[in-house]
Amino acid sequence: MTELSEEARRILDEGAEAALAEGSSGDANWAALTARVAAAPPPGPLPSPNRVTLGAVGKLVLLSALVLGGVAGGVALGGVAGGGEAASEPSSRTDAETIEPAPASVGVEAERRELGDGAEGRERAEAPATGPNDADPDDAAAREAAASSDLEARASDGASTEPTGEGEAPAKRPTSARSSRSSSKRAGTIDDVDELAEEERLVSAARRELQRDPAAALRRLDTYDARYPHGVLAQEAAATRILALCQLGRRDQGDRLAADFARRWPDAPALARVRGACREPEAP
Amino acid sequence: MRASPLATEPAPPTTAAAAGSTSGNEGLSALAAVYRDHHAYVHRVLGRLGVPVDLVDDALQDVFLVVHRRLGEFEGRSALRTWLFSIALRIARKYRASAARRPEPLAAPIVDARESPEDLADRRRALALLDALLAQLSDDRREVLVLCEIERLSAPEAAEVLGLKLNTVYSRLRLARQDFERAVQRLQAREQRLARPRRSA
Repeated sequence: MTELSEEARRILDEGAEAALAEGSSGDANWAALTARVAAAPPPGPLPSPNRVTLGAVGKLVLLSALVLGGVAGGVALGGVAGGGEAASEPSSRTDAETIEPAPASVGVEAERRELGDGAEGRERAEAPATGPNDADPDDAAAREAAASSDLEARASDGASTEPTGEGEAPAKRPTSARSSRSSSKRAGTIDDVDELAEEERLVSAARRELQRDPAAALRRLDTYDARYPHGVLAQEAAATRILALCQLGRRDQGDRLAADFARRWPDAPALARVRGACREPEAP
Repeated sequence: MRASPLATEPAPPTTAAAAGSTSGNEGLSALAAVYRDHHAYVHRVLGRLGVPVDLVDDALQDVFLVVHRRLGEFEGRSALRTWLFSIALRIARKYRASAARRPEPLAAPIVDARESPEDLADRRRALALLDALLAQLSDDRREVLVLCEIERLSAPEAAEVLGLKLNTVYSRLRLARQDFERAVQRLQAREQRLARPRRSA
């Protein structure tokens, strides 16, 4: 393979070193991070998260394929997921939201409701300064600012907060950056379709693995979640994860995620199965 | 997915496994541990992957918010660092996509490092130079180059992060190196040109 010249290597190494040295303001970012964690609204009946990037046609085609695939595969996740949700959601907010970077706490809060990591709602009440640098995330102002920025993020489809200093309230992002994001309605691109196809591939594979190797299914879902923290098929992935956890005997975790699932998608076709997954051992 | 070549990677911190089933405080402690060890690298990779400089902090927080949410479920089958980079990569792409639609010019890397004021710290020059060169690569190649040559991931690790076949990573890396070399050469040529007084014309 082509090797780099000495000069190129030097530039890379020096730049890499400089980036670390210049790098993150660990304290300020930690303070802002914990404030954002703390500002996540409680789980509960909220508008379903919209996370569809495709135009309606693309959505329908791909998601129909998914649903049909699920039925054909005999995995009764109830046609799952994004299917009904995506088709019925207004696309106005979704497009931007999915394309945009995790907007303040919107994405995270939604994600946490969705898949639940067991920490839901707890940090909200208290965000102790366990940070590496004794930042003060408990600052009420910080939480308030983060919360308001959350609301704003919802309204303006995906802005973020920015730490202004250690323990300080995250400041609102300058409007230039914010406003520029509102014009992000270029959904339905090839990239989007490719992305969704890949999402579908991962979730389908996990579903196929559910019976014979639930641990493998979980790993695949980890991959899915890492790649698509705001994935279109989040509901399907969440349902599959719960089934896998239950099959592995990790019932506490499965039950907890099932409760989160129910809160987030109270009308999901897969809800009954998800709820019962850990109570009724799978038939041999 | 293909058999993971990462099975031999060191297990993730034990805090990770515990985070999901423990209290919020402990979850936050687990996050703190991961943050402490990795935030500088995540910050670096986000910046080098083309997240606009004024948004890197936001992107960093986004990454760790996802980490916070997912840590309890993290299976530890792949290295924690690889997992973090997977998240960072996706978030960087989203930020890049947003940035591409910004009407105003980005707070872009300094394209002509020669113009850096003399009093600019060496490391800032080094960083600006690196970013200027990286900016000349396509996104695909830039990602591979950053992961392999800056973050020093192995090709199989990069394949895991990028969701690509190993061979694709190898070929893309080869092309990325060539592009980077050309960018270096162009820069050197320009510097020489600019360094010479106009009398040569």
